[in-house]
Amino acid sequence: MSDQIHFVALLKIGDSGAYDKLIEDYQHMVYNTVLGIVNHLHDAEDITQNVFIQIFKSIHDFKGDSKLSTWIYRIAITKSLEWERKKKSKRSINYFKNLMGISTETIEISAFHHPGVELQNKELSALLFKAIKKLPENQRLAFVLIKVEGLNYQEVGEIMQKSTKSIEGLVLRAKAQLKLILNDYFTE
Amino acid sequence: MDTNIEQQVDDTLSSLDMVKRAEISPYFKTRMKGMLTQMQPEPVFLSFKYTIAFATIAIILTVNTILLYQRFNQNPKSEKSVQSISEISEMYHFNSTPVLDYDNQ
Repeated sequence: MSDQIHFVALLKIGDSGAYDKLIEDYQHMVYNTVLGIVNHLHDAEDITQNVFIQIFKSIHDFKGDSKLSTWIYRIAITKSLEWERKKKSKRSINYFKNLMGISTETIEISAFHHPGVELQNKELSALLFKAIKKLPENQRLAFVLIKVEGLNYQEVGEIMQKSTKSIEGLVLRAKAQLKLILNDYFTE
Repeated sequence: MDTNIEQQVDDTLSSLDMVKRAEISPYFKTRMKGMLTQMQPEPVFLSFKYTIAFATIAIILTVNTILLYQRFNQNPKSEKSVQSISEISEMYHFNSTPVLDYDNQ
């Protein structure tokens, strides 16, 4: 913890070496989390960039109540959800434009293939990501953080500011919901 | 639930069990460092330049104020100079004599 205090102090004074280490240590963690939520390789990179800019801008607000990684996870999640909302509203505008014949831009939602998935599981995981998108936000975040980022219930609880029990509940409900969605898909 | 479908659902759910962490492009760090450097506050030597500029402006303004103050205080002297002008005009008979009076002489 004292190492973290020292490291954060260096970040607060704008030490370039500390920022190098911050990017080096957290770039893949942020990218993987963002990618698990937004399911888009290029956009995930842009959002990761925004996450580090946000860290740079608001490091003075970091009080040290939680682990630095927990704080960074929260920023990554917030930025990803913001991006999703923007994308959703853009999609609905395009939909109405298409209806009215103002725009011919196509609304395209392609299957997402996570680069960390083994080749034999590519198709199934793409299907699973599609089903995850249909979950309520809290269930989806808990499931992604555990399954894709490999965190445990306690860590997810700290990030989402919920008890370990409620995270367990969220993941159980997410699994049950996913089973229903996938069952519908395979019976069609 | 059909056993086959159940198996497919389970396989799909476990398809992320062995997932590895996705890694960002190797150029990301360099790009990000460049971006953060641009966002850094202005270097010290640049702000020193501004300090010098402001100090020069302050000096110019102070000198101007002092000069104006001195000029304002010189007013009694200017009265003296007016007096000396009237003495000279008297000495050289530049007194303003009305033209009509001159004609009457």
